[in-house]
Amino acid sequence: MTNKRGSRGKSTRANGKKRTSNRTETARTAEVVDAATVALDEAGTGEIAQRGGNGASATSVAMQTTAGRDSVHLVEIVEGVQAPAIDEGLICSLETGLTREQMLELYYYLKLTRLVEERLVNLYRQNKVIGGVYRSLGQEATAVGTCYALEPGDFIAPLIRDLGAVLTKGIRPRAIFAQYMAKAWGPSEGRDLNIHFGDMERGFIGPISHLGDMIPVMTGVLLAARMQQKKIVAIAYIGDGGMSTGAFHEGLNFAAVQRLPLIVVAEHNCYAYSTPTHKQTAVKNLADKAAGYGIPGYIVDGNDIIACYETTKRAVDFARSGGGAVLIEAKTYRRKGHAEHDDQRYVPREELELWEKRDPVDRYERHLTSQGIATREELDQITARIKQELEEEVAWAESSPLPEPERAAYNVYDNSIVPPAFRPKVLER
Amino acid sequence: MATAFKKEQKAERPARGGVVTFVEAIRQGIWEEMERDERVFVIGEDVGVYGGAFKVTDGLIDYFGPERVIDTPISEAAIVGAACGAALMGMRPVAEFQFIDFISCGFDMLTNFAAKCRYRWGAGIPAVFRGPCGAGVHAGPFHSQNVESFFMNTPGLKMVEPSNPYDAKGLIKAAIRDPDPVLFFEHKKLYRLPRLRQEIPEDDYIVEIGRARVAREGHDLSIITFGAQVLTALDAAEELEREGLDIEVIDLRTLLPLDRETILASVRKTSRALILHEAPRTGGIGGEIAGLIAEEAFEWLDAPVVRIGATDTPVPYSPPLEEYHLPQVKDVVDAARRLAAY
Ligand SMILES: Cc1ncc(C[n+]2csc(CCOP(=O)(O)OP(=O)(O)O)c2C)c(N)n1
Ligand SMILES: [Mg+2]
Repeated sequence: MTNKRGSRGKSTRANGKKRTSNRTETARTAEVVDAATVALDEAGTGEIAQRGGNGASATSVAMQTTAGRDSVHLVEIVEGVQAPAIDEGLICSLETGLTREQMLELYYYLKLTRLVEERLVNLYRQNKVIGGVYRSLGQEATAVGTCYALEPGDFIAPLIRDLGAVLTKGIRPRAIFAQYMAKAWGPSEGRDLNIHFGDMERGFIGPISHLGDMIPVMTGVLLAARMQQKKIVAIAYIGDGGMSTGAFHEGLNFAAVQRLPLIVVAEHNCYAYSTPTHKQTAVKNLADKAAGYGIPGYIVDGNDIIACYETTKRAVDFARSGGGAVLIEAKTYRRKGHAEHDDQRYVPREELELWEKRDPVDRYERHLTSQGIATREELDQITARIKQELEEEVAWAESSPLPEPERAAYNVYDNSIVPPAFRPKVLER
Repeated sequence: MATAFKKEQKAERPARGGVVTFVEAIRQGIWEEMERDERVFVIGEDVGVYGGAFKVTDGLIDYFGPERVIDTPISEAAIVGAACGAALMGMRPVAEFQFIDFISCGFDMLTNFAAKCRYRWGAGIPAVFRGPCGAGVHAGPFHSQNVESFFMNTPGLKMVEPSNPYDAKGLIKAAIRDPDPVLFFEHKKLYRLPRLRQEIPEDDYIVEIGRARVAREGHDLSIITFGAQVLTALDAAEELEREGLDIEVIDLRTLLPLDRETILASVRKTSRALILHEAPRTGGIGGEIAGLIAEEAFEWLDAPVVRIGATDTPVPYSPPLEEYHLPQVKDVVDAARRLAAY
């Protein structure tokens, strides 16, 4: 494929080359562009879409939102290409440095994410999960694929919908179930919800609800790593909505001027709660914002797990070798409401139907089987293994007691210095 | 720009008065003020078609249009700042925080800009900043906080927190008409609480900002509280009544400026004061009220002033932890017994 933009962001892909067994030989699965230029031209995206429709490699994504919808927020698709033509039979990017084993591992994490969430919904319906359940249905490939490009010593700061990244980082499902069920054996011992916990050993910085706040925190993580002469990189995830915060701006700007290896993965899933992206930002692509920070921006098809991996791998290599911060926009879609309580009345039906056809799990399965990477039976075996595993993980979490009430008083401070904050006695001496 | 989605039906205009829930009372209040005064507008995240996370602004956009019901990006500093700017221009913004916990992202705008304009150059900011506060719904550390003490030390802001539909409607209307910035806290547990359903008047009314209310009259002991804890206090009072204790409950309604007269009159009558709030005890506004009582009603006191609040921890998620953290009826009953026997 030739790049219609000219020399910049020149693709080095070898056409027709399916994959190599060398993970480090990174193929160009996304347009990397310099600070000033991000958006793809329409002809280029059209071509990509058509190639995708033919079952060939889809690179930088082109997507269409609901017909007739006023959508300045997505890369527009070239006229004449019908949505179904690009969705049916769509597979993943063919160029990859991933080995077969790695691709199957990727499948494991992708499917695991889907199935863990399905279990969570069941538990929620049984009133065993009392907080909200925030699904990543339809966008799991983004979290899993991007996180898979990290080395074990690297760090992530996930958003609530990045369960896939957390699992890929090696957190066991039992921790997630126990946490959601407010159990004593959960990583926060019942103090916080969902994936709001961290694990320094695994490079997982525990996020807070306040959107944008993790960007400056990850900048600090990397600042310290540089002082400590650690060659690590970090991914901070952010939503199309969270990018509107002041903290996001301050944090990314700081990382950029310090040339810190921060990879910001902007998950463009078209909604922030009920708010469509065109009410969050006037830019056409979230990656356009990279220009404002003087850093490279990538656009990737967030439902193509291979492309997510490859793009991030490239960004990781760039960042780790001293290039500085990178912004990756993953174009995807949130197929459920903000949380289970949300009836999505603000979402047009057709839009949901359209994106159902773009399901990232189906798509990866189709990819693996059609390309002879795995048989249907092999994938079913992986799924069966996951289901078996989840039975055990849920059982473990269910067997945990709820925390003892007084545990609420512990860990506000280092209790070897400051005693626990027990309920004070009133007029009792 | 066209909005991406349309609702099939125009929302029905809410009734005037009638038997309403807490949330319905606030919605009526905002709605009526928007009808009465075209300078009033609503601004916040998902307040339009979605009607707000708790549906306080449900239907407003159909009636008043997107110019007066503005969906914003996730940008609390911009919401507060823009509300301030519009207020300076003579508008009457009603800004929503999706959860009051996110007020921290607009903190600078509130404490440095909104609170100080009148003092510095005589420019009042007639804006309301409202949102759901409070715990007890297993929402964890970031969707459960009570933030009044973050702002108690900022002269120039007013703070209001109603405990029932009547006051909620009267106070939101008063807040919208107020010439200064008002933080308006709505305890999310009250929104749809059946127990609070109440008949409110059809006619336009306001509840004056700065006036507390005697929620229950008594002679033995004053419980001074506000918001959802008024219910805790009333439940405790009922239990204590069976033991022969006659409890007075003061519902502050306005936290800044405090209604000193009502607090002091009650304590001078009962000679015993228990202050109850849902925020952690240390640094909570109970300290301010205790200080006031110590200074102004010392001679009337028969016992130490007692404060009950949440434990000095973040709000935990798991029910046993959250219950431990929050003040319970039993804690109030126990403390009141000791206070009465002191
Ligand atoms: C500073 C801040 N304001 C408001 C919220 C409430 N809130 C939680 S999630 C959300 C929408 C987030 O949308 P987006 O960033 O696109 O992430 P997505 O949910 O799509 O993954 C909002 C408004 C918040 N968490 N933080
Ligand atoms: Mg989003």
